[in-house]
Amino acid sequence: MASDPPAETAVAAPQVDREPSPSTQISGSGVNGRPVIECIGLSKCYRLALGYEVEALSGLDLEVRAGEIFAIVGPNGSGKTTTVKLLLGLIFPTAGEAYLLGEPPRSRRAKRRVGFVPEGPFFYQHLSGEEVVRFYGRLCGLRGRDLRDRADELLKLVGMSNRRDVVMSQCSKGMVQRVGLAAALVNDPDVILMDEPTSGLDPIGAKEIKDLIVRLREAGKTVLLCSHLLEQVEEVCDRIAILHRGRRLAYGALSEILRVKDDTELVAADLTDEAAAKLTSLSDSAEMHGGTHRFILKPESGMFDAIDIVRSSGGQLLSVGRIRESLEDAFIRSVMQSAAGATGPVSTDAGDAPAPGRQRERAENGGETA
Amino acid sequence: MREVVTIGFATFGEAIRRRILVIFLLFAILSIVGSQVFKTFSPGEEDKFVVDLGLNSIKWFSMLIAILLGAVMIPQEIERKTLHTVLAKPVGRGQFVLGKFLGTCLAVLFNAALMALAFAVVYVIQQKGQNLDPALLLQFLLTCAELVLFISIIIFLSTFASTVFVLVVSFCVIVLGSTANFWKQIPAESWISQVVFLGINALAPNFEIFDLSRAILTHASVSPDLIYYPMVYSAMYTSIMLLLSFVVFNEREF
Repeated sequence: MASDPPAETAVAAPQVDREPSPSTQISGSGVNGRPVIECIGLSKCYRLALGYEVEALSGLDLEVRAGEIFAIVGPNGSGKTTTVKLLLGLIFPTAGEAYLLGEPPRSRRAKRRVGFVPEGPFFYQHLSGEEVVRFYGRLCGLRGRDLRDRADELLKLVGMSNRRDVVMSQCSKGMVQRVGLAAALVNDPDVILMDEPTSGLDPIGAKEIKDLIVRLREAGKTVLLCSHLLEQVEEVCDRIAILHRGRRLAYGALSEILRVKDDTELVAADLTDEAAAKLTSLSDSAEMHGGTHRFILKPESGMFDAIDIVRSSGGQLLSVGRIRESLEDAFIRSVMQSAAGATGPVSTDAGDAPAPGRQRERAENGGETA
Repeated sequence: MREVVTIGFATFGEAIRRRILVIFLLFAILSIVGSQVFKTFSPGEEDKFVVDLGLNSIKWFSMLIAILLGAVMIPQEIERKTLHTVLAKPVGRGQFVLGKFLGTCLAVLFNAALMALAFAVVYVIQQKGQNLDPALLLQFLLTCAELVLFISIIIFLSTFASTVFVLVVSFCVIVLGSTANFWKQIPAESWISQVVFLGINALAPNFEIFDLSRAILTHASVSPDLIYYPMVYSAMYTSIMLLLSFVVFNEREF
């Protein structure tokens, strides 16, 4: 999908019509000392016909702190969208409580500072992208020049400034998603809830959204991201909760949830055939891409022996170290443990400070790098 | 209030672009203009024919438009989840319902006004250039009040029911409302029929009080009661329907 060049527009916005709330302040840890988003024993049962019930969410405890990207991951039907709907007051909890910026979910004061990007948004078909953004801006109290400028800024930010006049009925799914993102940000929210924000986008579009999410964090925004695309989540989020069938399986910083495997990975370049053969014999698996070799060493193989082989052959050691499991691995492990009857979360809250992003154990650019 | 106006105008903009609405509007105008052709079937009563057909076209086509618009406005927003993004903004559920109601009213009354304009032209031609009878303007005012009342019922139904249910019940409301005096006069032969008739009389709106055609055709003066009573009736009925809509919509899950 062709798109406008990535815009470097600031994420902050002009003044939005907000109720004065001098007593409410967002700090690094939350609102007046409370988390930005808080779920306490949140449960939701949907009633079906003939008295049947489906438990969509069961006793969810969750805290999202100011300025972090928090992801709720899980397969379809795990309770991600239900959580977002409960936080927005679109549905009511069967048990438990939810707070958004310290307020109940249906508080209009909280909603003045919240943005929501739904999965597969749908807008009035007769409106153009610009009109959609202006419509939502007006709902947030923006008027006149402020509204016009904000719409311009956001359409540029999401790469829609050249197609601002295309009506929704003629927009592709990706274009609608971009407009939805702009509409969510129109009130310069402190907290942005995103439900599968890259749904329907091509890889370039998805990357742009991912970069935008990171920029939102840099601008001090808090992002709650719901997704089943684990790779994307892993790249941007600080902390996560893994949900499965409405239950929280894991919760905490990525660095604590993702376990370090026993396997050692060695990456080297410019190896001789002889050295490559020796290392292959020490490895469980070996790959070569464009002159770069990647070996997963056998547990019994000595890491320093492998390093010596590289050095003696005059090759270049690019990195060596333990492998950390991917989020996908952690998710599958959590689900398997849950299915096997393991009780309680796999990992608990990861301390006070949000994790500074994912840190690989592998010694890249230092450590054990040659 | 600004949120209500924003939603109202968006609803109006969406409504007037619906093709089915344009088709009904064209049919209504064709019917009104066609009265000049078909009046020859009522020799000696041409004026009555033109007025009858014109006023009834305005009323019934507007009611059809009201049903087709009102029945889809809220259910479609729920189905397409546009509602989620609107309610995620600082917009109350009551404001949303009120905006939808006002937008639908604006669209229906706009179409009724276009039909009335066509009728006025036909009427002036029929009366060979004489001025419009003021009673006709009063009748248009009452038709507008009747339409507003009817739309409030449709909006109330659409806050909890599906489009099909709203369509069916709305047609029933038209039938019951247009025959309200008939139900009052029927003698109840059993306690069941007594309860049914009592229920109909108590709940169904009485659309017959909005009809001034007899006064118009006899050129009799219109008593103020014939205007004030239906206007107050419409205002009260509409208020109750909107209040019920707010209560129901406030408790709904989306």
